[in-house]
Amino acid sequence: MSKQEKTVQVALAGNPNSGKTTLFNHLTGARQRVGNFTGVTVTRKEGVVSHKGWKIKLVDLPGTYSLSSKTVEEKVTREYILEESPDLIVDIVDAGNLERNLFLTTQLIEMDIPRVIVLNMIDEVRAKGVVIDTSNFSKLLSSPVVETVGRSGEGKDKLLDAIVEVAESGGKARQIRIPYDSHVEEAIDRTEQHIAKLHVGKVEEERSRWLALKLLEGDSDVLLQEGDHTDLIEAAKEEQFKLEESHGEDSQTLLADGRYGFIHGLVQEVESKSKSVTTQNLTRKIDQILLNRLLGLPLFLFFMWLMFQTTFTIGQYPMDWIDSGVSWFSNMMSAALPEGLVRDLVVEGIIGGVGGIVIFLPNIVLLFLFISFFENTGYMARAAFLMDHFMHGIGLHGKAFIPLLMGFGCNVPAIMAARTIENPKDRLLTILINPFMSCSARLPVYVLLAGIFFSENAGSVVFGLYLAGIFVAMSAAYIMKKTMFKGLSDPFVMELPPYRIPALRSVIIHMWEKAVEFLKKVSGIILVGSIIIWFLQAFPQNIELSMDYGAAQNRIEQQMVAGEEQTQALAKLSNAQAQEEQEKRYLGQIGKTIQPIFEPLGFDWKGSIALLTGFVAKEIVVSTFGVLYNTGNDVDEESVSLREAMAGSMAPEVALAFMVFTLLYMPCLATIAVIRRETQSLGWTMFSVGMGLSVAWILAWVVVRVARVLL
Amino acid sequence: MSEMTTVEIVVLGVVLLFATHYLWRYIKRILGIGSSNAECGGCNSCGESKKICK
Repeated sequence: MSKQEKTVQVALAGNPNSGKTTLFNHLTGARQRVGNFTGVTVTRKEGVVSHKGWKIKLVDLPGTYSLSSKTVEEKVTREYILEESPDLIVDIVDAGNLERNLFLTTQLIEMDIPRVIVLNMIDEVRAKGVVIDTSNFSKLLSSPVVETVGRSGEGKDKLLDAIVEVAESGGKARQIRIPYDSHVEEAIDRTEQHIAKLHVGKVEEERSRWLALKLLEGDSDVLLQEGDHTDLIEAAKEEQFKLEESHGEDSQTLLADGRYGFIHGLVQEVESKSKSVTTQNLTRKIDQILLNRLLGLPLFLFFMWLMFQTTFTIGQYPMDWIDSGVSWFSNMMSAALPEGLVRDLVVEGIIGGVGGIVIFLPNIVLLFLFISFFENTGYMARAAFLMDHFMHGIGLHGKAFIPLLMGFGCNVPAIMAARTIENPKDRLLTILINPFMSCSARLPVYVLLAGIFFSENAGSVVFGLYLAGIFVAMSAAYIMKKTMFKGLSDPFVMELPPYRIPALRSVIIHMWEKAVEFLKKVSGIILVGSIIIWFLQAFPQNIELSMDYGAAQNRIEQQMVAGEEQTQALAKLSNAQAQEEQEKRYLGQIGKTIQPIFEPLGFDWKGSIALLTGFVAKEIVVSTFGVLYNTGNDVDEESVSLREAMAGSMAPEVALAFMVFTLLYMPCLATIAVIRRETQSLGWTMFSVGMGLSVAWILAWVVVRVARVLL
Repeated sequence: MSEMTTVEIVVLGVVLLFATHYLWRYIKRILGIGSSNAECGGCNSCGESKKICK
């Protein structure tokens, strides 16, 4: 402890969702520095706070359940404690989940580091009528125990007092030893004797016990560290083998049993329930319904259906308003600008392309409103829990469903979220199937086409597409797990945080952020994409047409009597000219070249080119339609919306197949880049692209044929 | 098809130059080519401040 400078280095440790970061924010305020832990992409937050003449330097360690070295978070936390040796650890414990949270505490005790134990979210425990005897708790663990409420900052000063108290004392406290079964204790003793022989006088008593425990657990990092001492490793393995043989259980379980036994006893000593609370708490009651074996899954599906139905039906009103605004603006610009290519660029390219996509802003915002609500109430964790059974069926853990659910928003952060999966095979598999989960960028394509071709059941069609995405992802995972990724997944306790009423402010902030994010994308890559698409469909200017349309127009006007028939003939001729011109320009030529690939699926060259441009960002599929169908119309006339222009452009079964193809085909450029980065393999990236394209083509082919019969 | 005027050539040329330059920068950014934004995932979730990808 750097007492001369009166500085103390403090690390905040705790389980995920224990309120650690909230408390850190309360303690440090805006005085934070955000960086990374060396060599890994785990955020390292640091802050400084002054209290009673002490400069307290705080480091927020990643949330972790234990200090084994299975996950990146566990490794980072352990390495920080061992290598940077903080003066003391503030162990944040979710007071409502004492038994689970104290597992980490037992490991910190075994490392014999000065500590302050924080019983966070104590208000929730009090509300349940549970009383925790903090004084007794403190005596039993020989460390100060402080009650806090992370959200309000209650107990913050007491915590700082406790930190200063430990700092002043120099971190001296009674040593606590977690007692194990007598056979385990004997094995620890013998292993410690081996350690003492190898590191004479170098290893302190408690550090030696910790090292012995880690060797008996078969901790890979410690085994590696002691790799030169083959005698020690052999002896530890022999002890491990003897223990496992005599108890019929692996050594990790035996040691965990010992720790949980200690925790259970401790909780019995310090926790008591007041008489008034005899009924189950609200969370349990809600879970009885939402996690019910029979009702749970249908309810999850119902909520998903409700989300898409609402996204479509409620979103329709503001969408129409924006659509009218875009049409008005388009007409105004059309009238204001002189005829020529610049006007065409503004009206057809920029307004057509950007206006075609910006109308879906309300749908995107509504989708994120639901996602944010599910996340903040705690239902998202339940959804993953419900899928746990299915995930086990395909050989993955329910934990892998969380990155998949995140894929509904955007596949890029969702793929990065797969970092939490420890098993490398499971992680790779989760990354590979993630692009099948329909991201929000694909929503405008569904809303546009489902609105035109399935207007009666548009919400259900969109819901069906999202379900199809999950189904394909699961099926792909099942097949890959049975063939390429054989092996069992690591066991893991799934966390079910208590239900909370989401703060309106945070939901609104989340929606606002998503709206800004969407508009930034619209004013960035989508605008640029629309401009380039317009150029490609406007050039070359000097093209040779198959006939003299001017002469044909004159003939019609001279030979036919003015009336409806003549108007129709002229319109038909004008359309034919526009079509031929489009087909002979660069975009048309590219579209015509790739169209044979999509011919069996019924897509014309416009659909084919929209899918190609959608590779940059999926929203550009709609922008491409916006540019192409706007160009087909005479801009001197009253501009029509994209939905009106596209009506009748394809058969309903082709539209359905197009949506299925958009759902499943290769991920966008940003997703491909993140797959490459996360897998560190060009091969797996190419595999992901190839798999997406093949699955999309095959399923769209099936859909178009089946739907042709049914629709 | 009428000939393009000088104004049209200049305006369209500038717009095309801007668009291709932006597209190239976007592709470079998300593919991690070059040093400035090599960590960016290109999903825009962070408002391009690398918050998520870091």
